[in-house]
Amino acid sequence: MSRSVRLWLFLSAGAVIAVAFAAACTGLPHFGTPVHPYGDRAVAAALSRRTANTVSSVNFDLRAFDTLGEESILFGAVLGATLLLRLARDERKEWPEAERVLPSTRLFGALLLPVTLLTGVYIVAHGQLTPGGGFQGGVVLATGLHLAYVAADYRVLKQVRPLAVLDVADAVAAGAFTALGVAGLVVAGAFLANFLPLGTFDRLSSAGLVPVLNAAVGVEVGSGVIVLLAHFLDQAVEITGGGPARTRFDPPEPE
Amino acid sequence: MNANTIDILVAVVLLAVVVAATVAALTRDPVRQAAVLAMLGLTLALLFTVLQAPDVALSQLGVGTAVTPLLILLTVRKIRGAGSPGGQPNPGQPNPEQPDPEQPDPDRPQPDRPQPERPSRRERRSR
Repeated sequence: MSRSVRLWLFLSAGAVIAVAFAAACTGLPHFGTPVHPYGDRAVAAALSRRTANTVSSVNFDLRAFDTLGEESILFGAVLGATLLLRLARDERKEWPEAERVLPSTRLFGALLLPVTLLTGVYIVAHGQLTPGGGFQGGVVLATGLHLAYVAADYRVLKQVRPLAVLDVADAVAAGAFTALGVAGLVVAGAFLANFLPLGTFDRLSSAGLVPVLNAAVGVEVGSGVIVLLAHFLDQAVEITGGGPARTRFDPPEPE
Repeated sequence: MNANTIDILVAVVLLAVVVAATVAALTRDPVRQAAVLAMLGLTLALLFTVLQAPDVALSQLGVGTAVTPLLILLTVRKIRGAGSPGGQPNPGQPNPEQPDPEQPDPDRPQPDRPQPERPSRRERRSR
């Protein structure tokens, strides 16, 4: 297909999509209006389960099955990256060298690392009350831990990052979501049914199963992202040999 | 804030998203693209905040602004630097990028005749 034909195909398809999308958008309810059919029902359902954060109620109670799928996608991605980035036969690991760091940078990291980790735990734990939840808090926990690399060096990051434990934690937390769903099936007769006592509205212990699922997702996402970044960082920092990153599918370069 | 102010704010942030996304699509160098992608993630997080979706904005901030550009940068560094620290050739081991000095190098410009501009081996490989 020549360049002009491709361009025309794109332009005509793009025009059709643009017109259809614009027409569809005119049918949407206006943003920010007091009445919204889906929002009203979601808020009513969230209040009936004593969940202050309606988004968490949708994610972990009303549509928890969707969230299970999303967690499985992340788990599968981490699993695939781990498999692909394992040490190849012609590669070897080199212990990274200690790097010189400014004392002020080190102090900055040492002060900020506990603050970021605490923020991550807070966001996971308050998922049923305030914006955030397991996924967001997990990402904050995972990226916050890498302050050890930014403010010190790779050796320090390796010490604060027990990979063997995190590997297991990732798998156990991913399995825990399904196990809680099966528990709902056994106790309340439906997969992922909210079978725990709902507690008092706007308290940490409210919303029944939502905070428990949030904690499982927080552990899974946090450890999953750390493991994922660990394999990428290992490739960039530690693993040498095996020649340039060329696969046998690449044609040899013309000399 | 009344509805009119929010509408204007949404329009401004939407425009910023469109500009950042277009720049990201037009940037060819992966390293610069990662930086532009981080900016795009930031504008998207702003958009979600303006649209009163702080949950999504938090995820976008973590994944789109921090993790994804970092993964791209690490991948580029591994591919271009052949895995040695700092992207520099490691002196302790034979480096396939450094040709044998006894062999004539086709990439090296000859002193007596002018050479047309050619991309280096490393640049060619990164395409």
